[in-house]
Formats: sequence, structure tokens, C-alpha cells
Amino acid sequence: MRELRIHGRGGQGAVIASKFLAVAFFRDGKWVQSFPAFGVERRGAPVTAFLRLDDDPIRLRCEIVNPDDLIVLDPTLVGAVDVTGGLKKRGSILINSPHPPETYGELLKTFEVATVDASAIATRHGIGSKTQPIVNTAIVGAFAAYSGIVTLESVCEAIEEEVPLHTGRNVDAAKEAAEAVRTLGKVKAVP
Amino acid sequence: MNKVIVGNHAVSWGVKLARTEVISAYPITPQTQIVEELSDMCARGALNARFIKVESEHSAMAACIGASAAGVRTFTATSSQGLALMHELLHWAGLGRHPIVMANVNRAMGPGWNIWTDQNDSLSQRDTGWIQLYCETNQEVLDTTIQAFKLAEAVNIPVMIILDAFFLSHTSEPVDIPDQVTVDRFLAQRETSIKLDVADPHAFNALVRPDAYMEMRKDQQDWMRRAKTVYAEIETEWKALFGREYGKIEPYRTDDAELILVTSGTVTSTTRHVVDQMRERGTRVGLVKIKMFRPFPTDDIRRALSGAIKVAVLDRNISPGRSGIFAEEIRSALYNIPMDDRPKIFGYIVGLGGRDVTPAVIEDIVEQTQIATQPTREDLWVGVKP
Amino acid sequence: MKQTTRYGPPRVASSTTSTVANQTGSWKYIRPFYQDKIAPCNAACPVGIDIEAYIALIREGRWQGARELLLQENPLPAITGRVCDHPCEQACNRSQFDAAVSIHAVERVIGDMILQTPPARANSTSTHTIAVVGSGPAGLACAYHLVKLGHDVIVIEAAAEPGGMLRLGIPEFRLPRRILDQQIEWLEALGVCFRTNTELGTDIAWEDLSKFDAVFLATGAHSGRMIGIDEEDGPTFMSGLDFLKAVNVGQRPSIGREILVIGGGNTAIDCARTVLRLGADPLVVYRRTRNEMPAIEQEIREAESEGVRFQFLSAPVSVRHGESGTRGLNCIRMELGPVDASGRRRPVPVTGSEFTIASDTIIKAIGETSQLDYLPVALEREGTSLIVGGLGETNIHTVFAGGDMTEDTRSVAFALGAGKRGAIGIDRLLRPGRRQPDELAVEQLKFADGNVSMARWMSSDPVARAAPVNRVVSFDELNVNHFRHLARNEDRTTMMEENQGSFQEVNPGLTSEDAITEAGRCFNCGVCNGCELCLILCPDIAISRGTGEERFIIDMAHCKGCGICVEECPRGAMAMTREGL
Repeated sequence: MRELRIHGRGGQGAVIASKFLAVAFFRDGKWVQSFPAFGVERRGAPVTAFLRLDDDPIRLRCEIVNPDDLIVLDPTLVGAVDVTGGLKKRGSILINSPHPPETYGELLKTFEVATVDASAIATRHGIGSKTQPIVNTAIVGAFAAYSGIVTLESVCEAIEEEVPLHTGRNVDAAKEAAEAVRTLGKVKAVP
Repeated sequence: MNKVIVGNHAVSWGVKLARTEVISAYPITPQTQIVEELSDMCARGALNARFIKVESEHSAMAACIGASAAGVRTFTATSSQGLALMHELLHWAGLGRHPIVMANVNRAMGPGWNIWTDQNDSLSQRDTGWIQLYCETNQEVLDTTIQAFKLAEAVNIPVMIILDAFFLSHTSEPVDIPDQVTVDRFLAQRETSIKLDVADPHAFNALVRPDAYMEMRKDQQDWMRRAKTVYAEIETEWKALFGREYGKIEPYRTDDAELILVTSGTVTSTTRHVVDQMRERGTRVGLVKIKMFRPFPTDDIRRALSGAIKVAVLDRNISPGRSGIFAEEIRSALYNIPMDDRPKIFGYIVGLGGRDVTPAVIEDIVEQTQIATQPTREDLWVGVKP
Repeated sequence: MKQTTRYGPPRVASSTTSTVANQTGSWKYIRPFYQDKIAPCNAACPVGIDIEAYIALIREGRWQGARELLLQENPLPAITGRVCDHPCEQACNRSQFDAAVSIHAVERVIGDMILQTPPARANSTSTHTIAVVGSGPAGLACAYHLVKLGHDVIVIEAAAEPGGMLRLGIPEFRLPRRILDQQIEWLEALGVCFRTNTELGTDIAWEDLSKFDAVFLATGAHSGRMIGIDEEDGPTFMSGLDFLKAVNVGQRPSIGREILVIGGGNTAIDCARTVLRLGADPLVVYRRTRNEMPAIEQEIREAESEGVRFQFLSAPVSVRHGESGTRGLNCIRMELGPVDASGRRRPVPVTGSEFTIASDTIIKAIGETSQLDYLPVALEREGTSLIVGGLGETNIHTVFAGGDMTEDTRSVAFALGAGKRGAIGIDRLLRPGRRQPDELAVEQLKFADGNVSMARWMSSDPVARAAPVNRVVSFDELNVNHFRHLARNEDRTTMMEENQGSFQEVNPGLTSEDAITEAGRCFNCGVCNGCELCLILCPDIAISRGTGEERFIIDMAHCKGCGICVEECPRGAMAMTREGL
């Protein structure tokens, strides 16, 4: 069993990102469960969403407190809220950020960090508005490439299944982001 | 067709596949998605149903009663205070013998204002004459929704399908959505000999004097009891078509179990996980899931629990001044079996107002029950802060 | 496959036998019935239009039917839709709920549609020829109805073009000449003949009319009333009607800069707005307050928004002689005293409150009187008005009259109504066989106490009515709980700046979609429109849909006389009666 937590702000599409990944993992033959933080949401307020995946049907029906992986849709959340709370030691963090992972020196002591400039990619593909790009499709593409636990192909198919408008742009953003992930010490591709 | 969908949409799909003819509902968190999706299906023409907008849950149930009385298949959905507001009309639907199907998303009663899961809303409606079926997974939610129409219409008793707020309602997981042709084989169009019909007018629900009222009640009770048999028949049929069955109750690894946990709703699922892990460590622990709460499957419960040494009932509800409601029902069900077969009943109150019931909580309950020889009280509260 | 067992019916509180056997009808001592009544708009309409019925057709998008219904009573809907002061809307029950239905705006939309296609020529079915003298609204209406009734008609008009007061007395920005011209052409296509430039008493003699089988006189009222002060026939004074006539025939009289308009009726407002368009500065002097002004409210509002100023509670006293000729008017302040015969509070001068207003020209718009000198003295008259009966009859057997020259309210709508009455009077004279004598009572032709209905005269009302009674339905008889508040589709008035100096039509009217929406606001007071609330709400299911003319059938064997249908009927189209009576 592997557990993920996605951090974002209301309106960025964190909950839908967890749904994309659930569908993608399911297409890859995994059992999945995804859900939002139970409660009320407001645009702009920090929100979280969750995902469980396993080779067998998932029986746990409780909240996720010790995730294996984190996805952070908004870099300003790092430091603003306890994004790493409960994250397992050496757990991975994928941050939507224009900066290289080295910027997050403090996090690197305990966790693996990768970054991708999903906002720039989403803006380039005209997803959301310039001031509020919707980065969820780009970042799940990046997650596929970075984590290696879900195929980019399935992620793209999940986007096609779940996004009714501007589907092509969103798939393109996911593919571009997959090429643009920066891990420690290296940049996979220059955008 | 496999789809990753939330539990609320599993209900909507079930209602659509059942070819429901009238839907009337009022939105309330966490039920809203159910009717949102249904109204969308109606608007798109994917579902040929009349969607009646109303100004309250009381009116929603009134509209459903009218539609059902006119002989059509009828659905509504609600939650918590919304269900409470329907209370008067739940009796009406029950005694009027209208086979309405309702989804209730279990949500705690306020105040304090709380939108999270808790069974006090549906259990408060225990005596209104509705069949109550508690679900564990989104697949079960969908399957049960379709079955519910067949059950309700066979015995002329309304059915409430119950799913946990958020743990099912808002959780996405893979669901096998049956195809329409096969569902049509399972569930034909509703037929009823008694209905509102201007061409053949009858008087309905007029004054019933003391010389007849009791017989009416007895008939309701007889059919409530028969609903258990009918449900078993329906499940057999369902299994033949779709390969899945759930049972009124489901014993899980109870053979040779010294301690049996009793659960309902999504706590069951997490408890399975705990039982599996403890079994691996050699603990003789099992689980009985209760799906059908009304009519209460007394015989099944007796068969499943008699012989165990201890039973720990996990109640996500409380009857103030008494104890957990499932625990109460089980104590009463087991009282008339031979003294030697009677297990000790430990009634735990867990997860009220949506508080998380984690594997750790369940493991704790198992350990506490193993250590104790006798419950210190009838309601054992778990994890309450001082 | 084995199907789940089906079981018998549940034991519920239902009767085993059909309730049909229970003849609840035997309980009643009063019984409901459908009874159409008269909508207040119909009764208030001086033309006598079945407004409720044509509005109902428009709501259903049945324009053709609405046109026919409207044309049966009103020859000039494009004109009345623009200039009528719509008493129908004042009477509209909806005004007590939210706002009156904008009937005039809906009428105008159909009126304009009617003008799009010329009518088929009316069949001449009589051997009679009638002379109509005067081509104002009364003359046009009389000629129109007579032609439709199968008679031949010649309209004799003194002016160069037909239209009378419509052409000379109403400014272009309220009634474009284009519309009037189209309307005249339309009437010609129907079969109305005009002989213009022919003045009775000058170009033809009264005796020349004797060759006609009947004559309808409608020469109007053209002489301006006098204020009653010295020197008011001097060069700085003008009659309002003369001023409007001059402008309407294309003249631009030199009136100076400061213009006083005396009066508070439509002529006064029209004069003031015309003055404004000629680039001068009008001040309306009226002896009562704005509330008592007889002019159409909307016209007053538009005048105000265009910049017309008002001097209320003031009356002229004398002409002021300045050092260089007459340069103003001495006035006195008034206050409102007790209510007078007109139902308004009589203005009373305030002693010592005289004041002076500077003016270059003073326009008197305080009403007009008829000139009857050219008529034989044998025609009975009172003062300057002819005396006529309910169908326009004068004391001379073949002579009929109507409009401003009779004792009638002076408006386009009243003139159209008088023309119709005259036509019926003449038809009755010339073709006595059309209706049985006992049916001839004028009262039977009227919408309650309103004008006569041509449909009733012709016994050809296309609207099916259930047990009609000739009584107006009041607001209290409606059940407005069944209605929703809906905003009135207001006239769209062009911006004031655009109106400066322009004689363009001020009000561009509604679209046909808006007209349908507006028609949807009609309550159909007193008339069943098949809404089915009676059927739905009957607790004994005793009401069913009928076939043909009968919309609903009440099963009296089961109707127990509870009266719910009557109580719930939103439009007062049902009533109860005692059993056995």
C-alpha cells in the first residue's frame, strides 16, 4: 500500500489531481481510493487531497496521516503550513516551483525533493487564467515521470477521461511537465 | 464498465439503471452530489425521470409519496437534519406502504454543527417502518440501490440505503457499473394493483378505527419480517447476474473466533484489515458486518454470534441515556438463546461526528476486550478526551 | 431465471371498493358552474375591444387570431397603440398586484404587423351608400365598420389629406406620419373612399348629402377655448391646436424664445414638447397640480425628462404691458379648494399672490369647441355639441354623428368608439333584418358598462364563452395566490438628448417576443383559460376535461358542492348557485 497527499489551495484543482491519479493508477491495474480532506473548502484557503493505491482491494477506510509521497501545488504553502507533517522519512515531495530542488535545503535533510514549474507550463498552455493557472494536469504528468509508479500514458488517458474542456491542452501540459522535472543536481530537460 | 467514482455518484448510477421515474429531493451536504448528478442526467435526457424541485425535505418526501402512490418508481436522498425534517412523512411512507427508495448519507446531528459521518440520523428513524441497509463500499452502494427498488416493490415497504459521509460519499474508488440490459432483466417496471387512479378511484389513508388499525400494523410487521427472506432471494438473483453478494449480515473469519467484532458502514472495511493482521499474529478474532438493520436479522445474528466468548460491538452512534444502538439490538437478540451460548457483549462508542476510526483504534478495542472479563458499563467510549 | 416472488397487495388504509359508488353529489346544496365575466380592461376600453381575448391569443403566439379579434373592433390599432391614453391599463386588475399589463404596447405590436399586409377588399353586400363627413378617428372608424358591414362609404374631408386630428393635432414624435399614411392606404385597400379638399358648407351643400342613404357627421372640434382675459386675441397669443396644425403641416412659426403654454391636457403637453423641438423654452402654466393634469401620465413624464418646465397652481389674469410691447403674462397663485363636478379639487385664487412671467408667445391649450354653423338648425344641439343617442342617432332619421362634435370625452379612443356606434346605428337603420328587434337594446351590445361590441352586433364572437354575465370582475374576485410577480415590459423611451430638435418617434415600441411575454402577464380576469386548477384541486375528482366548446365537465353525481374550484379559480371564472334553483 502506498499513500499520497496533495497540498494546494482552493481552486487549484488538488482534489481533481487526486482523482486523475486514482484513475491513472486504476488503468495501470492498481486498486485505488482517493478523497478530499473531509470538510469545507474555500477558494484560496489551503486544501489537501489524498490517494491510496495497492495491488489488492483497499480495506482501510480512514484518513491518511503518514503518506509516502507529497505533491505540493503551490510553493507558498511550504513554510506556510506544515506540508511535511506525518510524511514518512525519505518520503518524496514534488513541488510546483520555478526553483531547483536545492532551494529547499531544509526539506532535503529528511526527504527527497523534486520540482517542476507547473504554473509556467499551465500558463503556456492557456489552462486557467494568467493570475490563477490550474496546475493539476501539469503536475500529475510530472509526478508520473518523477515517481515512476504510474505511467504517463495512463495519466494522459485519465486526463482525457476526466477533463471535458480543453482536453488536448491539458494532456500537452502533462506531457511537457513530465519532461521538465528537476531532481537534485540535474535538470531533466530545459523547457 | 469500470469507473472510478465517488459513493454519491454510485447512488446516482444505481437510480439511473433502475429506470427511476420520479425524483424529488432537497440538497444537503454531504448528499448533494447524488441529486446534482441525477438532475444532470435528467437534463441531458440520460434518465427519463421527472425531477421535482421542492423547498424542503418534508416536501421532497411528500412529493415522493404522491408519486409512489400514483404507481411510479420513486427516489429521494438526504442526510442528517434533512432526514429529521422528513420524520412525519417517513411514517406516512411506511404505513402507506409506498415502496420509495431513499439514500441517506450518514451525517451527525447538530448542534454543534457537524457535517461528518455518524449514524444517529438514520438510527433515529428506526421505528418509522423503513428497511435500512448500511453499505461498506461504493460497489455495494450501487448494487444495493438497484436491489432496493426490487425489495421495496416486492414487499411494499420503503427502503433506506445508508452510506457514510465522506468515507463513501466523497471517496472515489473503482466501481463495476452493470449494463442496462442486464439490470433490466433483474428489475422490471414497477407494477402495483393499488394506486391513485382517477379511472378507478379509491379512498386512501382515511380514518382507520381501532377495529382495523392493529391489523394494518400487523400486516406491516409480517411483511417487514418477510423482507428478510425476499432480500435473500433478490441477492441470489443478483449474484447469478453480477457475481456479487453481500448478505443481511456477513460473518468474516468468525470460525473458531473467541472474540467477534460487530460493525456496520465503513468501519467494517477497516476492521477487516485489522482482523486479517491479527489473524496473521494468531489472534482468534473475527468480524460480523451488519448490513440490514431493519428488519433486524435476529436469526442470522444468533447463528453468527452464539458460541463466541466475547462480542465487541462498534457503534458509531449513541442512544443518549442508554448505549450504542447496534449493541442494544444484539444484546436483545441474544437474550433468549441458551445461557451457555451467550457471549459477553462489549458495546463501544466510536467515531461520533466523523472522528476517524483507524486500525489503531480497532486494535485497542480488541486488546481491551481481551483483557476484560466483564464490561464495566454498557457504553464504553473510545478515545474521548478528558 | 427464477424471478423473485410477487406478492399480493399490502393491507393499507384504502377502500376496497371504488369510491365511484359513493355519490357525494347528493350532499350538496350549492353547485359550481363555469361563468365567464367581463375583464375590467374590456369594460374600460372606449373603443370596445375584447382586450382580454386578444391578449390571450398573443400569449399562445396565435397572432392571426389576435389580429382578427382586434380588427373586429378597432380599425386603427397601430395608432391607438401609440396615442391612446389607455384607460384599459388604469382599470387593469394586475395594477393592484404589481403593475398593469402594458396593453397599449402589445396592441401597437399587432397594429404594426397589420399594416405590413394590405387587407382583402371588403365584399359589398348592400345597396346603400353612406357619407361620412370628417376623416378623423370617429369618421375613419364609422367608415371602416360600415365597409366591413357591406355598405359603400364615401368619406368627405375638408383638408388636403385624410386623418383629421390624427394628422393635424398630434405631433409627429408621438405618431409618425408614415404610420398614419399606411393606415389610410390600408383603409383604402379595404374599400373606404375618400374625397379630400371638400368642405361641407363650402364645397358641397348640406342638401347635396340627401342623395346618400345615411350620413355620419364627425367634423370634430377646432375652435380654441378662450381663457377669458383681455387682449387674448392679440398677436402674442396662439391656440394650441393652431400651433400644432401649423407645425404638423411643416411650418415653423416664429414664436420667440420664452413660450408659455396654458393648460394641462395632452394638447398642452404636445405643444410644450413641440416648442422644445423648435429650439424654444416652454413653461406649462396649469391651475391645478401635477396630480390633476388630464394628460397621459407617460407623456407628462417624457415631457419632464425632455426638459419641459411646469408652473403649477397658477392662472393667467392679464397681459403685462412692458415698455417695448407685450412681454409677459400676469398670473395669480391658486390653491385647491373643494372637489368640483369633474371630481377634481377646484382651484381657488390666493388673494394678493399675483406675479408676472415673461413670455414671447402664449399658447392657449385649454380645450376646443365645435363649429356647427354649417349644419341645418333643425339638428338638435346643446351649446356647441350635437345631441346623439346610444348609436349616434340625431333627431334627423338618416343623420348620425359622433366624436368631438358631440358630448363625449375628447380622445382618439372615444372617437373610435363613437364611430363604431354610429356604424351600428346606420346598419340597424338600413338593414333592420340583421338582428331581432328585442335584441336591439344597446345595453346588450356593451362590455358591461363599456362600449358596444361589433362582435356582439354581428353575433359572430369567435371566443367561446361559458354562461357569460355582463359584469366586470373585480380584483377581490381573483385568487392572486396563483400568480407570480412579473415585471412589466415598459416602453423604451429614447434618451432626452436625442429628442432635442428631433421629431423622430420617441417610443420605439416592444419586440414581438416582448409582446408575448407581456401578454403572459395577463390574468384573463373573469375568463376561463383552461388552466386546469379546478380539475387538479377538486377533492372528489369530479371535474374532467371536456370536448369541443365545453372545456370542463363537472360530474354532479360526485361534486359535493365544496366550492374549492370556485375559491381557487385564479381569474373568477366560476360561480356557485343554489341547488334546484
